[in-house]
Amino acid sequence: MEPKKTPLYAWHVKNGAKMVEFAGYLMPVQYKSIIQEHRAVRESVGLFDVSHMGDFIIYGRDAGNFLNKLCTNNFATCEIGKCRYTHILNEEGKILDDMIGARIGEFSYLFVPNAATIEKMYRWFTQHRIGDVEIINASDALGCIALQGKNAPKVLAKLTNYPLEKLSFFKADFVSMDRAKVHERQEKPAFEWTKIADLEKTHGQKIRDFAHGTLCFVSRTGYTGEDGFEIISHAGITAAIWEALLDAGREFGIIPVGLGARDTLRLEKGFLLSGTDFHDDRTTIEANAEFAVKYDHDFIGRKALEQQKANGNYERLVGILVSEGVPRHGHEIYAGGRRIGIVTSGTVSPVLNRGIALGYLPKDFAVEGTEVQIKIRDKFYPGKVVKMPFV
Amino acid sequence: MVNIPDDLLYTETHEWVKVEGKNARIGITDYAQEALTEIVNIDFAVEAGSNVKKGDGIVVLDSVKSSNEVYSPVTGKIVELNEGLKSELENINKSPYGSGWLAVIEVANPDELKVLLTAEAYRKLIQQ
Repeated sequence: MEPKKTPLYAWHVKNGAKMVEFAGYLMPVQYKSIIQEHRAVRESVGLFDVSHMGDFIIYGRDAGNFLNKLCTNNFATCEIGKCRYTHILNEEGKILDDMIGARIGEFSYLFVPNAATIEKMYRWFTQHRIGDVEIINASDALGCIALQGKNAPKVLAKLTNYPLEKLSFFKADFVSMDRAKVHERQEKPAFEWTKIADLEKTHGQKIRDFAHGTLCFVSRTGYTGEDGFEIISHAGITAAIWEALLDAGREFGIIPVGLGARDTLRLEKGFLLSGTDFHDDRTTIEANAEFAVKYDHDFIGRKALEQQKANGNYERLVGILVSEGVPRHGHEIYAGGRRIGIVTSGTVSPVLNRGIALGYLPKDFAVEGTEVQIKIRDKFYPGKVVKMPFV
Repeated sequence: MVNIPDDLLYTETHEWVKVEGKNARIGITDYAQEALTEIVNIDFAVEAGSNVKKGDGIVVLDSVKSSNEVYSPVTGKIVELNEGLKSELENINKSPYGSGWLAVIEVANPDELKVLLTAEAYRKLIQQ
């Protein structure tokens, strides 16, 4: 299948990005230097094209209850204008995907699945539909830009008069970039909004304007562990927002950041990558992500999680720091001459300048300070289980 | 522009070879260093004095993204390894044909040099 292009594809190519196919999309892996891009985000601010991520609009009178059937987190109690990180599990409690969902109206939600799982999760959501619920896959019609780093609020403030200080961590809202010339009404909406507008009393108009590109949807979220925003917009105006942010960020040394640094930034924080750190084979409990579970509702996989917790004897996700060598996905982890696990993600941390890895280890080894060896090619490199985040 | 000096020989796996009397100095090409992105780790799979066969993996270069093997372009004995690169990894990216050299190998069979690519042939290869 022909790889897809994001609304920023032409910009990336024109500006010398090294392009790779990732999850069916042609994406920039780096512009000039992964390490420089990584540092820009840790020290000031960087800009990511994350338009490959999916966008589901889920609405209807039963949307909250429907989502609670599928999600470990509780979306019926989620307030309008707030985001929650959730896992979606199968009956065995295995993670099918992780995503952030936002409540955008009384009966409407915006969910952002991973690029590689858009089709799979769209099927899963539609298969489990109950009552009055509609699910729109608007992934191709919406673009997403992540603005990340401690200077991100200063950069975004140059584009909008919206009081960003009110948009605290994991809050989200419809925002007009009224200080920049980016909103041009798009004739064809990113998704069919008329039924949503009928349903929503107070937020219908904003959802309509968002669909036509005269508003953006901005959340204070990210995948870098730094302060920052994710800005979702009609694909027709995504490039204009990108250019405006680069202009506004010049005084802070903003640079575009590719997938290479996106991976090292998330790994330094111990954030999971769907399809790499779990692939329908690990539970939320094993992934140390119980913070994403609210046991106040009955969701698919809940029984399996409770049984596993009660049993207690399960493998756990750990972070491993090595003094030499570079661990990679698939490398074996040993202790006392015995193979005890496999690296699910590994790289060199640009901040620590040492190899870091994620992997699942049996209970007795998943303890801070445990000495392990990672088999890299034919050599064993010593490492230690450490507390995460690494940085 | 990718730099491909005329006075070197090349392999299809993006190593360069400089003939120095009985020896061959080797490294990775400018094209290779750019494709690998910044090198963050080097791991020598052989020692000075080891015998290697053409095609053996002799060095592993890690970038942030991936691990990449460098293959010996010739059969022979390792005379010298550029161990200093461990503390100056940036030389591989900055100066792949100069201070970023990887190894010097005493060539056992000079006929093997004849099948290496010329600069012109290598240029054609990477244009494809």
